[in-house]
Amino acid sequence: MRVLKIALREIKENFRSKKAMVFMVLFPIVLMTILGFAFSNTFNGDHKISNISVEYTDNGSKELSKGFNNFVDSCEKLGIRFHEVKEIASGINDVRNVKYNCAGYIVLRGNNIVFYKNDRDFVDTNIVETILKTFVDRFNVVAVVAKENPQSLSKINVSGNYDFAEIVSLNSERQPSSYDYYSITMLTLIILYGSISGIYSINSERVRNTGNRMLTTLAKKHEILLGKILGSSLSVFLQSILVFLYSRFILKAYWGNDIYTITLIIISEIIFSISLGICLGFLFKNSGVASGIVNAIIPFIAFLGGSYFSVDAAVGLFKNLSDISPIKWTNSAILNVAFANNYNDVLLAIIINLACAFVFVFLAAYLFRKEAF
Amino acid sequence: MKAVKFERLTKRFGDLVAIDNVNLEIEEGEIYGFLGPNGAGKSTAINIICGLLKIDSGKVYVMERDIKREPDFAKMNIGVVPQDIAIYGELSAYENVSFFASLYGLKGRELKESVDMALEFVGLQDKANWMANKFSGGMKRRLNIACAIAHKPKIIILDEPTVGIDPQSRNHILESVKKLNEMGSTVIYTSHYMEEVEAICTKISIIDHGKIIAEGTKEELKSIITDTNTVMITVTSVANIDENKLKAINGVKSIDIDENTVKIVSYRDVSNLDKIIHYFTSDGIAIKNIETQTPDLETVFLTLTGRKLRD
Repeated sequence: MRVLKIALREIKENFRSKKAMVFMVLFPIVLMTILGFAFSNTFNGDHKISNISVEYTDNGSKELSKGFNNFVDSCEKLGIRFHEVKEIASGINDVRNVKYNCAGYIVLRGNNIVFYKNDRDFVDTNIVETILKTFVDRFNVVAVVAKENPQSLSKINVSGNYDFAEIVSLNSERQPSSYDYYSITMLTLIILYGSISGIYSINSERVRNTGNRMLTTLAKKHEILLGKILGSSLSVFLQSILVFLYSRFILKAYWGNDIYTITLIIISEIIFSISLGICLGFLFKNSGVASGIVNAIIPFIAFLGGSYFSVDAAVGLFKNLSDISPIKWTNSAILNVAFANNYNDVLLAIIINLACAFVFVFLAAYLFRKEAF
Repeated sequence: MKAVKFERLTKRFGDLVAIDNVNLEIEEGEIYGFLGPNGAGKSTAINIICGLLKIDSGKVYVMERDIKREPDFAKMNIGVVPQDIAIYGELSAYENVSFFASLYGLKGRELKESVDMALEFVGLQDKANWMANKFSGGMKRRLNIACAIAHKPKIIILDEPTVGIDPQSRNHILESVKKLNEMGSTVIYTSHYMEEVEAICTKISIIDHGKIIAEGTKEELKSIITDTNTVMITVTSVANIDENKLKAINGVKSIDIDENTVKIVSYRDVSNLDKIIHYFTSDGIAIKNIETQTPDLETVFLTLTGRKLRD
């Protein structure tokens, strides 16, 4: 109960602070509007399937090879280009290095198909993956029918004249516009800056002496810590909703069809960010030093994490650096869910955020063990 | 019943001994004053009583129960008015008092009534919905007190509650302290202002270098440094004064005449002022002024510690 009281007070204070509201709500709204407008020409909303390139190696069974060749013919009519490679290692390498802008590499082995995805171009890769799944499903059906009731095979169209209805459901024509992109990345960026709320939450208790006053009541240290994390996190979450509503209804930004998963990712980032701030608040008695550190690090992390421009196509050292930015995984997971129905990064992003949060909360609790604020 | 009791209490900060093997007893219903310069150990003692600092050795009892074993019992029975104002500027006066009272477990109707009572007590009921950051310094001090009393503690600790406020608010706070005491609370009061302590405290201890160097009522403390009272009588002429007659009055210790002023030093335990005045009037010596000199707490403090309270 005391945890809720402390959290509620934290929320009231945050929402009554003009400074906090300007920084956490107005600032991202202005940023996403300006950046969205300024870079509207550099984001191309049309996605041409004719640009997609796929490599494959055919070591499959006779039936599979035959079916796959029909599949390749159908795909090439759609404009997807296929290149055969002899060496599997070479194909994997081409995907890894994005040779020919390669969206993926398919290996036929007996009756099995292995698909190596290019994880840097999620739209192209997902188009190929979905088409391939359709082929695999049809092939499996035909294989089962051939085994169980061969007479029925004549009734099934095995000519390879596929109707890839799934392509439509892929949002394949939807690439993020500048407003879409900056609505997502500016929201995740400002959530990262929410760590300053965490710093302020601890430091203000120290400056106003209210922290020690709380400790003279029946409130326990763990209740104060939990109340502060909960209150600050809820404050940032509510502020994020305001920013989201602006982007959704004023900027008409697209957030995909699965807002629940995106909300989960956002909540995990908020917990990460607030925990970081609260930890720094305990670590540095001077909030100026703690805020200075945050202000110095965040632009760098944000740059690497794709807040200002997409880092999907990054290679080499920049890609490695980008991978250590926690916001990169958050941005990537949200963009993948919204624009490609791809959930591969969701769990990883949530785990990274919550694992870091756990470490920060643990450290904050350790620092709070001392006698008073 | 002992409201607060220290038993061989010691608290160290590194090499510094902030409280040095102190024994102390504060009876229920007292207004107990802690006097001491900065760094003497007053705030350390208070922070230990209210649970902000851990004890290195010794024991502290609140309402005769060990605070180490029953910290929640001690906290429930104590209300702390910290030296530095500890309120939330972005919350209203009502929300501030309600928040701290709720942390003591008060809720519902009981909470509302307690908050109303506390605000009325400090005279802020008509400003209950004002944001605290709109308050003057004096009003903030009063709100600071309200936040400490809403849960109806038996012991109220006020640490320098009148620092930096106007005389009107100071009087209000001093009257509030007396009223709280009359309502049954034990009050522990620290102040740099000697006259405040002298005016309201029923018992006083003087702390220096982590030790209690003197304890007692005001009179008891004054008697530590002197056993005499001095009367200064200014007359129109000292020509007819008979020093032997004055010295013969019971209790008179010494006489000193300087121009038109006669300084008469008497033993404190003898009441002889009426006889001294009678001597002057019966001998036809016109008295222009009478002034008595008794040591104040500042003098006591200076004598015992070798420095002024505000040094």
